Amino acid sequence: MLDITFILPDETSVTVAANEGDSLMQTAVDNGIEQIAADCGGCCSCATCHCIVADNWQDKLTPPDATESDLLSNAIEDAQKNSRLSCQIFLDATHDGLVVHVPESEW
Amino acid sequence: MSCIIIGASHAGVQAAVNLRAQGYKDSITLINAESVMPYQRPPLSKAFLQDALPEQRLWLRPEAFYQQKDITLMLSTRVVSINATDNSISLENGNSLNYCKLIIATGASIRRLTIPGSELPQIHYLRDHKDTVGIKEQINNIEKVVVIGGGYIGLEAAASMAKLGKKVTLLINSERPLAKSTCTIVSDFFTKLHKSHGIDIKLNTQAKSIEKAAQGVIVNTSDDDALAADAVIVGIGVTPEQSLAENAGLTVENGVCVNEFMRTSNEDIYAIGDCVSFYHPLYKKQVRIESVQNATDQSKTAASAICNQPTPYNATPWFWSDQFDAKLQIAGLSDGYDDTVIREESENSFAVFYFKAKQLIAVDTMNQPKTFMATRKHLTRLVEVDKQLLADTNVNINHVFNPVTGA
Repeated sequence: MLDITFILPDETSVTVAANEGDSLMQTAVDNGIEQIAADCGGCCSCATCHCIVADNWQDKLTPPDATESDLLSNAIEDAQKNSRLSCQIFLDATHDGLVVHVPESEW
Repeated sequence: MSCIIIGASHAGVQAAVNLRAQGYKDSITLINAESVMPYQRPPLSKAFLQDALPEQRLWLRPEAFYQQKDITLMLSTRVVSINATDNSISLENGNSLNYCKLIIATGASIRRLTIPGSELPQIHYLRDHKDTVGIKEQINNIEKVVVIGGGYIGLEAAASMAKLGKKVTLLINSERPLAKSTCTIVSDFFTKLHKSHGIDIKLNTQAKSIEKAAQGVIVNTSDDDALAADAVIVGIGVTPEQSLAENAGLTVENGVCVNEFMRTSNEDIYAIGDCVSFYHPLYKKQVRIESVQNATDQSKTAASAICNQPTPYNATPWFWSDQFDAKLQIAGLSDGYDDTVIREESENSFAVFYFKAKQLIAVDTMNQPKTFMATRKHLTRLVEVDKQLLADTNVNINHVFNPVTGA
């Protein structure tokens, strides 16, 4: 199991145990992080699973593909350089301790 | 105080989650007739059918989640009646339960074939978990499959079966696929896509009868063809599951009628999702929408109202369909359009904008998520948009909306 920390819009932080191979979105949904709406269930169709990954974790992530980038840049008012769709981040052993900020849902 | 939710699909489960998220302190009981854990429906015709998604990943929430949120999940439990006069429901097992607030999230049920041979075991539908599991159990015995229906389910089923290496014939009872829900350009794209993957599409063709053969079945068609098949998959639409509401004396008309807070004609009973008929404030008409977005957003509206934080429903509808490597995303309702504008980046990446009385009402995007997102964001009201700019792929899609709407 991996420790993943979600920092919620009110700055409270929640650390949950995640399975290797699961997406970050799945981990959030399974653990009741309701700001990650994940309407489309993780097929990269809706951008309702937006999160911001802390700077020091960037080199551990596979960069977004074209679909994810297009959704992010057009869906999110305050998309940041570290903005990601959590359905496209799949967790492995190198992600133990990952910290992600969850913005207030725009949807 | 207690809330009972009938139906544990996207709408029902999300209603329970939202009630808790909004601070509902009393008991929540979520009742479902099926025995399996509440699950997502979109993958039933796609990833789950293709065996690309394990069973547990189909679940809307893990089992422990319901306990953590103090939501009582009653599976394998069928509700036989709602007794609105004394705020109770009766179960098939003879028990009855009292509620303060009731949420009807009964969804829709499959429309079945009525032609001769419709009862044969080789005939499958795609609505519930057991339907997809039924096909998967037979998958190694299936070489040839006839899919009946040119809507989203028919197309997705055909694509999934082709992906699994099956020989697929798709019967569509109109001149093009998705004839009721989209324009010719999108239909033609799908026709070409499916043909390029070896699917034999027969347009303007109905199944007249199905008969048992030495191996599998024979599907007799309206153009006098006889198609041998090991399995038949039928996707010919659904009807709203409204009988409980109707028998309880609630107002129904093509779905359970609700107001802007998802409340039915009874003040203690709400209804959400596929089973609901409501007035959409953006489109100014009565609609019933079958989609995950609609189910999810209406569950929020109902939960807010029950928690005394009423907010009228006004969400912009959106939909998606994945077939082979094509991603169709739709925002808005195109029904009743009188003009279209095409924004084409390539043969495989285009958007069709739908207009009615000069106002942009909807968009279909094929492999163009950027246009989908930008348009969806602006479709919170209906505005006039410069059609030439929309069609011009050199103009950033966001810039098309901003000068005109002033947003």
